[in-house]
Amino acid sequence: MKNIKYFILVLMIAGVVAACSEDFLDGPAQGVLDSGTLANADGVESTLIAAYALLDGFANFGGWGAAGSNWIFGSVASDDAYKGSEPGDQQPTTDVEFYQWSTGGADGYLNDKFGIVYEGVSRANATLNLLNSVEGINADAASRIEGEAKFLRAHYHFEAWKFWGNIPIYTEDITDFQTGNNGPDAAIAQIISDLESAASLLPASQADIGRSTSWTAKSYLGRVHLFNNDYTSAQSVLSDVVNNGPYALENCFHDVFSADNENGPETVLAFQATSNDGNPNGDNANRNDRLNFPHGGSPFGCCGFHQPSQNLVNAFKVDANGLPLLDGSFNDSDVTESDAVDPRLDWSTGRDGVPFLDWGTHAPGWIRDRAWAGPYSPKKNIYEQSSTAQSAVGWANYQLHSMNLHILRYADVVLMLAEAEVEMGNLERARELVNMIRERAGVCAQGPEGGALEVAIDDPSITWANYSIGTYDDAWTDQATAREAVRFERRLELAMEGHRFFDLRRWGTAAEVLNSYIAVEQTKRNYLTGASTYDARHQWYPLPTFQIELSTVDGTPTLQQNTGW
Amino acid sequence: MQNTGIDLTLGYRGGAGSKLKYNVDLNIGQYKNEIISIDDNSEFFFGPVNGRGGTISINQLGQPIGSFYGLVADGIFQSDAEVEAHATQDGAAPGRIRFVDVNGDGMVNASDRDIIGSYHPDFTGGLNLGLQYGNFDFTAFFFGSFGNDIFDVTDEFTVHRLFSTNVRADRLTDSWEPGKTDARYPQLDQNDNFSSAFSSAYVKDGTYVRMKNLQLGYTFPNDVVGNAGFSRLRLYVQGQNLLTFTGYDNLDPALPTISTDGSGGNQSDQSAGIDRGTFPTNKIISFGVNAAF
Repeated sequence: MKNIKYFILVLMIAGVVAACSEDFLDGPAQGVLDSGTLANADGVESTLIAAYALLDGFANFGGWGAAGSNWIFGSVASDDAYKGSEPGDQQPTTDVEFYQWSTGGADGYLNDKFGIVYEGVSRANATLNLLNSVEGINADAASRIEGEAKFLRAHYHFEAWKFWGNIPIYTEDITDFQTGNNGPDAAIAQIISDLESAASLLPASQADIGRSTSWTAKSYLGRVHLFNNDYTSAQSVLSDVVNNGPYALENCFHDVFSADNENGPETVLAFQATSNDGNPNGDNANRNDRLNFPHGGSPFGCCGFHQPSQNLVNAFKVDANGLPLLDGSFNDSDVTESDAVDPRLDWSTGRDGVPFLDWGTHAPGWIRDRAWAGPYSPKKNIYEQSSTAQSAVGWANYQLHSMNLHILRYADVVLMLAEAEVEMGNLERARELVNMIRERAGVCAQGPEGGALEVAIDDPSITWANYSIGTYDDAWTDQATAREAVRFERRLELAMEGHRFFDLRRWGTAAEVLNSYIAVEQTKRNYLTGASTYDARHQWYPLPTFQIELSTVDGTPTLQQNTGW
Repeated sequence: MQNTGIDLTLGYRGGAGSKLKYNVDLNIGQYKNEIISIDDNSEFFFGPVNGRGGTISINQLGQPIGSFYGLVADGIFQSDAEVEAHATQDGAAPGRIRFVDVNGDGMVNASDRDIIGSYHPDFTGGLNLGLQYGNFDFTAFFFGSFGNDIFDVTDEFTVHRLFSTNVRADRLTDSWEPGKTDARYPQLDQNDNFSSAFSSAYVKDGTYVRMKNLQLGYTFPNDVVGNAGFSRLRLYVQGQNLLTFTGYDNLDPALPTISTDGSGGNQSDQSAGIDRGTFPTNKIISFGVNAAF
């Protein structure tokens, strides 16, 4: 007994002596990743993957406002969609829809977006710094990693630029983060420089699905040039992608939005969503888009957000030649069952009486509050019941799935090139490109309940709509008409994908289009009477107040607010 | 962070004759809490608890920890003329809450948020009363908290009707309508997304005094119970939380601590005084027997 006591005493002394060594005090903190732990080849690769992980807009922070799809700031803010659901849920989204962006609610959503995109920039920079500090990575791998990191940095900076214009830019050598705005032009210059560098560093194809390639970088560069109204550069790089790149349109329009057909030839850049991967909350799925499903009486259960506008649904009407009504007359009356419509309507929106993928037929009970935001549902972001995409875990797991979220797809590239061609006067080339999109749109329509998911647009089983779509067969000779046709096609093809607001703004038509949209739409959806006028200050979103306060040095914020906010 | 203050206890014990004994004990606590440094260079950071409207509390140099943060409400717009005369405010309309343009830049927006209250009381007090008369004994304990604020975030639902919920009954009688200048609440309006912004309208005086304990006992004389085998037998009736004096008109001014853990451990000091509609304190009445053999 006595011996045991001595033995314990000796152990305790040994423990105290060992615990007091200097190594213990100076050792790395447990459970914390620092640059020392990551300073090896695996660490560099993992940090790079962490930079990709923010493409969907969610890290352990970042709410609906940060969604990589930009469903709020790119779609609800436009004439494509409403907040949807019911008045009292996620009111900040209504503030965005009403062009009332000074409110605390909108400010909080914008802060989420800011936090996510600059976290993305930070992770890209961390990858570059680690890469420089690690030896033994072969030259090919080093080029690839540098290219991917620069590509991602360009993407996150570009998202910030799309929102705020006059943004701060951070490269890997910067250590002072309170230096203020760098100005819209410097930001674009940095983004272009990163993309050009990525295009030359990256391989033309990658072994791993989802990584960026030189073609991803070139396609994205075309987008940036177009947003910067530099049509010559846009036309040059986008022509290269279309003529020499690896991409093609999917056969059927719906194949772009199918959980069974991911990373096909049309995917240029997509967030690689996963479900049932061990994450207990399904956080790697479509987390920030999961409100955007039909509500109550539907197979999904919740939450009825991001409802298509009446104006958008009407825009799918076609004339006797299957062409859209470019003169604006599409909105003179609301679509009825007998109206001839573009088949993309029923791949892009859910309507009563129309089969909803393979989930049954969309019915009135699927809508959360039809007196508030109308009878339509979003559809492009929803997976097929027959797929294995659905998450088994997480809040509202019927709405969590592994279908990828597209950030850039080839049809977008084709239409961007068409825009640049119009601006450069090559109207016939633009017509060819638009017709490529329209031909593909005519390949398939939503099939009947219980039957094939995709059928020909004149299939006799179609009883709910009258589908028709044609190509532009007369030569385009007037630039203004050609421009309108390309822009209209872009709206139809990319409806509900988070681009519309940013497109209207760069075209300079946002004030005219949105104010007249609200004027008509509020006669159909009464709540829109609360919307403010879209005016000059809406050119950019306001910078988040929190970020301005955080930038304070010696009592003065270094980050300047945008004009008018 | 620095706390300075005093604690004071006063007690008196007295009696009259052989049957009457009594005691009075009063204690008062007062402190001032101030954040004096954050990371050596930061000016502020937000607290860990958000409502659906965003941040509720802030920790800022020179201010108490967990101060409430939001716009400053200044009544309700009564007319279009008042809206016109006011700084530009999104959604401003008669019947909606008017917010103060704190920084004076002509616009009401998120940069006009300010510190709008604090859960730290001016002082707290406890009062113990004891009285014994013959075989009867009586004790009471009162606790009071004075000058503390409550951020009543349940108003998001019960006043501003997020998620189309049911609302407080007085929303029916005390909502603004033209001419009703003393209305407590803004106009009932499904499209009013604005009055619900976090502001001093959510901040209410949390002062209260509560009788936390009251006990009345009777000890049987020894000559009565001794024969029955007891050395002592006492019956009592006890009431807990029977009375509360407060102007706070939600469920309970004595709020439970919101448990929040962050990277720095327990952060409940940054989230106190926020009423999220948790289950209120029970009133309990109990009867008891103390018996010794």
